[in-house]
Amino acid sequence: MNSGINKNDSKEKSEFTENLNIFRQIDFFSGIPIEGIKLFAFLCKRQSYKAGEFIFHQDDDDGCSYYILSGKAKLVLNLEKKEHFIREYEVESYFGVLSLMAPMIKQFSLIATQDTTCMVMSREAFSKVADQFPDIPLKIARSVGQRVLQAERKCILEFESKGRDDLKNLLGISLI
Amino acid sequence: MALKTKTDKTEIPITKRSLTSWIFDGNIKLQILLVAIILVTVAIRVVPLEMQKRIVNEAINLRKLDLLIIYSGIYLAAVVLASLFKLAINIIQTKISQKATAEMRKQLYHHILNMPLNFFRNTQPGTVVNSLINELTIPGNFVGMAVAVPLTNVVTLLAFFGYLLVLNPILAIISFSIYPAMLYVIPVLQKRVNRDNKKRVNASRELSSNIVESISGIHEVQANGAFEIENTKFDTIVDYLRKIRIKWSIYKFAIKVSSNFFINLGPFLIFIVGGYLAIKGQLGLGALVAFLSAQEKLYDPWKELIEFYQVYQDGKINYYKTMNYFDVEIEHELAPKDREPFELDVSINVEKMGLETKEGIKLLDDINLHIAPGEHIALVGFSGSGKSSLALCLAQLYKYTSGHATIGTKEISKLTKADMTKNMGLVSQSPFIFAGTIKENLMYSYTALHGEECVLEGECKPELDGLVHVLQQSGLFVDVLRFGLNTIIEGTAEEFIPVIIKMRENFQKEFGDSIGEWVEFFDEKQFLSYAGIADNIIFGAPISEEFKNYKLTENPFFLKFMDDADLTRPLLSLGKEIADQTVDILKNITHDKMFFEQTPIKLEEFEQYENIVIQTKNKNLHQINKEQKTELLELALRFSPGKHRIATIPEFLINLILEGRYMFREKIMQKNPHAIAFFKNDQYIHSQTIFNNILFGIVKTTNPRAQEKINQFMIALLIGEDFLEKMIEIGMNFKVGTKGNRLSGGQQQKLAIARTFLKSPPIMILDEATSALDNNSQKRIQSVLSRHWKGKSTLIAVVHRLDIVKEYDKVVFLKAGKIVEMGTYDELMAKKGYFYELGYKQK
Repeated sequence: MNSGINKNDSKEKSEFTENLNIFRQIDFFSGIPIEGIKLFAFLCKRQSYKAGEFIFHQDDDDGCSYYILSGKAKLVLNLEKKEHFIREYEVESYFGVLSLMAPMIKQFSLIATQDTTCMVMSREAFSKVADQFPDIPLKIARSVGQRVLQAERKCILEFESKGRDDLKNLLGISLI
Repeated sequence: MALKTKTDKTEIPITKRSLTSWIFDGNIKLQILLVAIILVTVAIRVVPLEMQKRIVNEAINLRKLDLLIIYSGIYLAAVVLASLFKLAINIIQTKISQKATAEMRKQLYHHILNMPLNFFRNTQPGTVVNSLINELTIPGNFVGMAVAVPLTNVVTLLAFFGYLLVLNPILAIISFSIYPAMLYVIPVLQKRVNRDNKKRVNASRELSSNIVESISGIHEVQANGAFEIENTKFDTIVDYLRKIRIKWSIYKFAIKVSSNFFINLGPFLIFIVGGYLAIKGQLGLGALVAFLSAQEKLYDPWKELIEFYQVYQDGKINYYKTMNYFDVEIEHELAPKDREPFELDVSINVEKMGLETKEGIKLLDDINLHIAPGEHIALVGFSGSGKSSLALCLAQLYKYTSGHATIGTKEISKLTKADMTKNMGLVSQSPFIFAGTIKENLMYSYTALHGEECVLEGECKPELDGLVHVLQQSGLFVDVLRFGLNTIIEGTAEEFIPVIIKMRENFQKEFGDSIGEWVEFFDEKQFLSYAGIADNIIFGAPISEEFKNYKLTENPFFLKFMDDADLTRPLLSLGKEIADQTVDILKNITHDKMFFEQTPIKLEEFEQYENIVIQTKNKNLHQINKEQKTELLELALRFSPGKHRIATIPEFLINLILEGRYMFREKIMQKNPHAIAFFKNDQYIHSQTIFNNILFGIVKTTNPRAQEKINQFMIALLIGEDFLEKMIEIGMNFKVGTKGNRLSGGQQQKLAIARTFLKSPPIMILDEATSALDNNSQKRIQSVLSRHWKGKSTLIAVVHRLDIVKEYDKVVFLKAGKIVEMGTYDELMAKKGYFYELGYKQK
């Protein structure tokens, strides 16, 4: 993707236009005025990774969010004794929105399992856009809140239907 | 070496000084000279009056031509002299006022820099800027005027009055009687003008915010059909504003009319009373002329006195407002008066230390701590636990409010700033980087300690090796190297060119294959996505001025070539697309440099292209005028598809450009074979960075790991060629931008750490100094601290990452301002208390 030229399509869309369409479909950015979305699309960059390469490292604050454009990547958690595989992400997955809003250490590593290309947004770029549209962080915070609520509902259902006491510790997270 | 600080002449702090104390401060000689000149000037001013009288009474009446010439000559000489003296008065007055303003600014600035940090938490930099730049101007003007204006005008009035009194007492009293009335009426009117002006400004503001509100909420207004509500609100304010403006204008005109009236009333009174006296033979015609002339001259002194009073009032308000704002007690002397700064024994003892805010909140409470020389201690705890406050108290940046803290045997609160800076270095979480080069920033603390003279004159100038060493320790080495490599060579660095070309050869031989996938090599058969279209066509470095990129659209040869190569129309279309798209995204927002990295339009050109977009909207290419075409072509020629993701370049255009490249070369070789240095392996490309010259290509990936790999190869090459230190030297001249904005947060922290390492102080305080660094960099710096600085410098580090705490001799855990646990890492982990729990949570 780094050549910047998609040679298959002659009057093809520019990278900016593609980014714009993607941002419009990401939940967290819904409700943000189109002028803001355009700036996001304008400022984000593309990054390619070879299979096996780290996209981000556990314990690093890379200050970026990622959207997988092509390829696949696995999320892993390294604890003292061993590496735990959490799940695999495919095309159209988006993560790291919280890193845009505040310094935040990534708790997991993401490793490309195939050659992968991501659309990467940096905290610096995000804050430049937020300077122009001060409502944006609030709108994203609302979406994040909704997402936490949904996750907790799932936990409650699981807790209720399967009687999983081990989930008890996680309950109440939406009350932060 | 003693720290040099300028002590102010007076012992009274500037914020306690009265405004009037500036009038004679250092100006006594000038003020005395001023008084002398004023007295002479006033005496000279009366001469023309007397001459007027004599010309009429003696020369004209008695028809004596010689007298007329003599008196007129004296008149002229007096006028010329008075003007010259007036100029001298103005010059002296300006000198005094500028000196006072400059001195006020300097002293206030020195005072502000030394003020307690707490003050700056609640103070915007803009307030300080405004105080120093604007607020002190009028007080300074007042100081300049304080002697000259009242003296000149009062003495002038007295002299005129005296002279007129001698000529005719009754007429003199009548002439002067107008001004007290004027002095009473005009200020009254002026007060009303001021009052209504204030109302006018407020009403205008209200009107503006009303407009902003209704326009931003236009959805709501239209959806609710709330037109009447909004119209009524708006109309009411407009009506109020109309009334106020009428009143305000009437008062303004009233001032004009009444001063005109009073000025014209003067001659009327003189004519009627003076005329009567002249008819009766009690007043000479000459005296009447003198009265008329004096009457006219009396207006200016009165006016100047009124204006002076206004400046005094405004100056007084501004001055005391400013001084009161900054009237905070300085906590520590800058430098000791009667001794050199201490070289302290660096054991630190803290006993029952507390820090309490004015509101009674205990930020630190009952802190007891002993730190042996060379010991490394880590302060840990949750945010708000007081760990930073403790570090800053020990650095004397906060003043503890109870208990004791000593370095050696000296109480920290009693030491001067010079004692502290000699013995201590501090790196804060958000270090401040000054505009200038990396090198200047690196030497900042070192220069402050040793004095500018000593460092510049070479006596204490650090060796290059020393600078390189601290760059390596802080991890900034590679960054600086990168800055060096990214330099475009100009002027004196030309000597390196043959070496760089040789390095290019070796680089390709050794590493060419390994980096192929990340680099776009200069190959004449390939389109370069990461170079502009003009660069792709020319494919070389222009030698002749007319082929430099910014001149191409003015070059008839190039324009004709583009027509012949069928490039003009597709490029015009591309330029229009880029302009339309960029303007669509960036219109109506405040511009930032970052927004212009993805488009060939530069920040300063935006407005120009915005106009072109508006003018060419819905037009076809053939309808666009010549100037617009030139601008759009310019844009397309600068467009680099790899960098500017705002548009794409169609395949057919790439082919046309590649064909054009050969055609251009053929044509230029016929016309001017020396105009371009085509990209060849043995040619230096002046428009490109050193890095790209060695690479003979452009890196196309932004992937940090790929870049790191290329960097490693590059360093290996530079070491092999013995060019590493040279490159670091070039890199240290990199300009970091305002507040270091051309550096990343991590680079700023590394630079701040390097600057403290270079100073090499006996005590180092690191307040979350590595928080912006990635994991590896943090670990590396920690390992440098443990290996090189343990035993050498005492280290107090506020640490937020617990994995590096193991390396410290002692860990101090704070909670709500108190030390709740203290011991080695292992002891605290075994204890399974707060520290253990925090460690668990971080995991």
